[in-house]
Amino acid sequence: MFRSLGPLLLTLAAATPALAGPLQVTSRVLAQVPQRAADGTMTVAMRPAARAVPGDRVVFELTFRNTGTQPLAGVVFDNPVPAGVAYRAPAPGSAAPEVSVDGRRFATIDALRVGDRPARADDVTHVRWRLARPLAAGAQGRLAFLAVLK
Amino acid sequence: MGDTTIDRGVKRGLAAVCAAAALSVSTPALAQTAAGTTIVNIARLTASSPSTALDSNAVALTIGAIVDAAIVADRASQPLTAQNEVGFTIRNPGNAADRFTVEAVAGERGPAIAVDVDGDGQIDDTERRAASVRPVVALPPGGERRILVLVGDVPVPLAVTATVTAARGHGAPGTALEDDAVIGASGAQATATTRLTDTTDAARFDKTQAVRAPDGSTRAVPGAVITYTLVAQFVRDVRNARIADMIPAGTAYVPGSITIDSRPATDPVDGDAAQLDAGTVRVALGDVPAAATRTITFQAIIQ
Repeated sequence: MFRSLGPLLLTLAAATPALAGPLQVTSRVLAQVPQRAADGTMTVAMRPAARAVPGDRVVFELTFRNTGTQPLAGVVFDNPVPAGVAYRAPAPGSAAPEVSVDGRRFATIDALRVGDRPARADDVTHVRWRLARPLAAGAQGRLAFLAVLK
Repeated sequence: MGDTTIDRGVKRGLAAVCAAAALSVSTPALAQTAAGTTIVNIARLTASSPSTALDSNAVALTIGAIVDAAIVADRASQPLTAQNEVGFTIRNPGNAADRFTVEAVAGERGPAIAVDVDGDGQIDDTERRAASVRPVVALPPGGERRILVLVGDVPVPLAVTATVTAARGHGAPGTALEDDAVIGASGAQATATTRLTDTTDAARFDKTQAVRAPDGSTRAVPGAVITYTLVAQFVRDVRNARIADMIPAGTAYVPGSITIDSRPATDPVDGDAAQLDAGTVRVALGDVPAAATRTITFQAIIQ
């Protein structure tokens, strides 16, 4: 019995990524990169970056794809806001996340309070997206939020 | 630059109050994430059917150094004395340790500067003896030191200007330096002025600023609006008082933002007292009685 259970448990342990196999998720961070045009004017582009400075606007981006053959239902993306980062808003082109100021209760920012005052973007500690519909086989998407480095 | 001059042109019946960019754009106090900090983001994904749990890849962002400098004068003006020791506080508003060079100008002189090396808030005899014309001060992020400009005896009213410059480099805000450091909103150089006055000066003149960033914070980031407030307090009757203040480098004037005693004034040369003239805000206050105060505000956006 134990002899057969051992390999079974092992299979289950290894199965977390395997089960998740049909879902691919890639996280990126894009930061402001100033660019000087030939005429000397400066523009700011959002580019994947490994370094940035306080005050810079950054975009945390998740791209996902169901690479399996079955639809996935009840898909939820949880993104705790890292220390040193202040949440600002949904990124352009992304669904708006639900946000939380304590990691437990999620809602739109106007529906949240901190003590006896309305919550502000600076208070947000977690963002979460719940896909309303099952993610069909082959379907993909992008979710992202804007933030400022503290 | 940066002084408040009173032109006692009694024969012409004029007195002018002029101020150049008296204060530099000093970054407001804020707790910046320290340079070298790594910010890691991982999202967690779950699905109910089929049951799935998965962490995204970890993506990392390293915080680079912001190089900034700030200085404030103890007082906007102080009376002439035999010693004329003028106090300032220099500060490192950036998020990385840096070294700062301090220089002062008093009239034609470059006076010696004593630094509160031990950080006790006092300039003691040892620190006074170690005074030099171009001391270099190491400051941690957020750190500050008092300095004392030892002007000595001067016979006439004059402005004492102290300038602090970051050793890693200075220039336009946003300029990249070595090691992924970036020059902050101050340009990594800041200036403050105290005027040594005699008691017959007609007015004192102070300038303050408030920063409002697009995200509602007080961070001095590109796009943030700085509101400058100039307050002229008149000690005696002054005729034809005028104020001039340059829009600081690295900022753009907000059109139509001038107010005089809380009333809006327009930029063109027209019926009102204000005008914007080649990057300088000019306000003609006219004849002002003793004990009157006039308050001018205008706004600039950090580029």
